[in-house]
Amino acid sequence: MGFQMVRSGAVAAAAGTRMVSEPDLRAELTQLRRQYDALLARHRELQAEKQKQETSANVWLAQRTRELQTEALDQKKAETLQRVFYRIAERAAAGLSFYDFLQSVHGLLGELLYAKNCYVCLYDAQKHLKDFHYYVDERDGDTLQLSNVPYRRGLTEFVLRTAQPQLIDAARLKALEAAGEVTEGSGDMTFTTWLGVPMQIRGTIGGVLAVQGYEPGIHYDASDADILSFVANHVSSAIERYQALDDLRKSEERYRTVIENVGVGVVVVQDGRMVFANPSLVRIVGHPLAYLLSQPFTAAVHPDDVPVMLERHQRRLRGEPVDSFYGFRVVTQAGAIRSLELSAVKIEWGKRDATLLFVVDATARLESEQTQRTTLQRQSELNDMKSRLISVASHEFRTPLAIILSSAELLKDYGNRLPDTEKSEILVTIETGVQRMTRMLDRVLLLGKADAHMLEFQPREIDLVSLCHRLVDEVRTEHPQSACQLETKFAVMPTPRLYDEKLLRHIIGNLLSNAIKYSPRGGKVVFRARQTGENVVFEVSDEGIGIPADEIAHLFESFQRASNVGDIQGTGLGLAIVKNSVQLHGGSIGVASILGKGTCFTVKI
Amino acid sequence: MARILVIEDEASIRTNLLRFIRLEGHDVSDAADGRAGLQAAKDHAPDLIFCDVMMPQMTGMEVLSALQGDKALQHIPFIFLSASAEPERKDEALRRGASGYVTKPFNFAQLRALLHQYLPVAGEPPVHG
Repeated sequence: MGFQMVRSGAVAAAAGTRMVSEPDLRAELTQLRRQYDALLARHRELQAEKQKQETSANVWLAQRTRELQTEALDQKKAETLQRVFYRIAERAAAGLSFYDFLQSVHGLLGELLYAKNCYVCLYDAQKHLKDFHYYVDERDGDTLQLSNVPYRRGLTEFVLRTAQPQLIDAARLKALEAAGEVTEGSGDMTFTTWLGVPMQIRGTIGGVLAVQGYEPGIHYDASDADILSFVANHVSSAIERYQALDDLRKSEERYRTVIENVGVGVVVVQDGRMVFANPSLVRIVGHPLAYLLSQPFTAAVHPDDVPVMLERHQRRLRGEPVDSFYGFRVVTQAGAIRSLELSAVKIEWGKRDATLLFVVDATARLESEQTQRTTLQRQSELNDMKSRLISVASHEFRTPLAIILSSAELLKDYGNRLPDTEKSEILVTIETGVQRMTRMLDRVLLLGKADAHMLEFQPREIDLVSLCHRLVDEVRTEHPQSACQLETKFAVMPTPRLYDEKLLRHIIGNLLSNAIKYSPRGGKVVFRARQTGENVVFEVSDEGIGIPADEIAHLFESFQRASNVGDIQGTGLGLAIVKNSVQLHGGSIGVASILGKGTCFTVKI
Repeated sequence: MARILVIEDEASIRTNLLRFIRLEGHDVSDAADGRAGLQAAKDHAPDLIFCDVMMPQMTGMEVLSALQGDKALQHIPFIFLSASAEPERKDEALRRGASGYVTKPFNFAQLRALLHQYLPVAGEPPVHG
C-alpha cells in the first residue's frame, strides 16, 4: 500500500504548482506514463499470480475433497466389514443349523462383494474326502452340495494345496490346466472370475470358501481376496465352534442313547426330588414322568417301604456307609405293586450333591422264583401224596382184598357145608368189598384230578335250597341204619353267585356223610345254610366222636384219617376233596371240634 | 380141638376168619381192637392168636409186647395178619417174638399151614398142656 501513497503524493504536488513550463510538463507526463505502465504491468503480474494461486488452491481442494471422500468410503467399507463380521459371529452363536448359518453368511457376503455364487467346502484330510456343506450356483444350482466327495485335482483342491487365496479368470484357468494344476474341475467351468480362499480350521487348512461370476463385467481383485479371506477367518472360527458343539452333541447323544434305551431305570435325586428319570424308570415305576418329577422322589414307593428308603437316602447323602443295593416296592398309577431293586451312588449334579439310582424291575424274577417255590412245594406235596397213596394202597386196599379173597375161599372150600343164608351173607360181603375198593379208586382219581388242578369248575346258576334238600335225602338213603337225627335250617336268598353243582355235591355230600358216619351213637346232625352278603355259609355240625385237636392241622390232607376213627370205614380222601372243591369256588372252610363231643364244619362260598 | 383167638378191627375179615376156623374144627373167640384182644388172651389163654397190626386202642405190636411180658402167655403162637407188606415190618414182628407174619390178602392154605405147624395134631394134647 506504500506504493499507492507515493503516487498520490506526486499528484498532489503537481496540482499545487501551476507555473511549471510545458517541456517540463511533458517530461513529467512521460515519466508519469512510464510509471503508469509499470504499475499496470505490476498489476497484471499480481493478477496472474493471484490467478495462479487461486488455481492451485482449487486443485488442492478438489484433491483433498477426493481424498476425504475415499477416506469416507473406506470408513464405510470398514464399517460394513465390521458389521458383517459382527453379524457372522452373531449368527454363529444363534444356534442355527450349520446350513442355515452358511446361508446367512452367504447373504452377508453379498454386502461386501459380488457373491451371487458361493460355496463352502470342508476337507477331511484323514479320509481324503470333501464335504460341500453349502453350494449355491446360478448354473449348477445345489447339485454339487454333496458329502464325501473324493479329493481330486480341482480348483478347491488347488486352494487347499497352495493354502493361498486364488484369483482365477479364464486365462489363468487355462494356464493352470496346462500346468496340470487343475485338471478335474467340477461344475460349470465357464466362469469369468473365480475367487477361492483357504479356511484355517484348528490350525490346518480344513476348507475353502469360494465365490464366482459368469458375467463379463465382473472381476475379483486382490482387495476382494482380502475381504473374502477375512470372512473365511470368521467362518472358520464359527465352524470350529460348530464342530466342537457337534462333537459334544454327538457324545451327549451317545450317552443319552445309552441312558434312554438301557432297560435299567436311571434316576437322579436332588433335594428330595427326581431331577432326571429315563424312560425305563417311567415304565418300571408306572407313573408319568411329569408326576415323578413334580413329587417327592418317594411318591411312587410303597408306603411301607418309604421310611427305610428315606433313611438310607439321608445316610448316603451324609456320606455314611449304607447298603448300596436293596429291594423295595412301588405302587403304579394303576395300583399294581411291583418289586424293584435299587443300587445307588452319591454324585455331583449341577455342582451340588445328588444321588444316582439304578432301578430294575424284579417283579417277574421274584414271581418266577415264587412260582418255582410253589411248584417245588406242590411237587413235594404231590410226592407226599404219592407216598401216602402207596402206603394206603398197601394197607387200605389190602383190607378189602382180604375180605374178598377170604369170602371167595369160604365159598370155594366150604360152600357145601355152609347154610344158604350164610352163603348169601358172604356174597354180599364180596360185593361190599368190591364197592369199597371201587369207591376208593374213584376218590383217588378225583383227588388226583384236584391235585393236578384238573377238577372241572363249571359255575352255573343253581337252586341252592333244592340241591341241599336233595343231598340230605341222598345221605339219609346211604345211611339207613344211622341213629342220627338230621335237621336242616336253610335261610338262603336267591343269589347272583354261580356254583358248580358237582363240586357242591362233593362238599355237602362228604360233610353230611362224615357227620353221620362219625356219630356212631347217633345224636343230632344239623345242616344250616345262610346268606352273608354275596356269600352263602354252609354249616354241618354233629355230636359225634370229634377230632383230636393236634390232628386238625392235617385234617384236609389226602389219606389223613384221625386216630380215633376206630373201625369206621374211610379212605382219608373226603375232606381233601371238599377242600379242593371249596378252593375252586374261591371260598374258605373251617372246622371246630371237641373230642368226644362233636364237630362243626363251616364252608363259606 | 384148639382154642384160637382172632383180634381184628375189620368186621368182615373177622367174621370170615371166625367162619374159617370153625369150619376147620376149632374153637374161636374174637376181639375188635387191641385192648379187648389182650384181655381175651388173658381170659381164654388160647392155643394160637391171629392178630391184625393197625388197630384202634392198641396196635397188634403192643398186644404182642404185652403178651411177651406175661410169662403165662408168652408161649402162645402169635401170628400177624397185616396189611403192611414191607419186609422190615415182618422182620421187626418176628424179632419181637411173633411166630408168623401173613400179609393180607391172605389165603386159607397159608392159614391152614400155620394151624398145622403150631397146633397139636388132632387127638393129641396141645404142646403147652
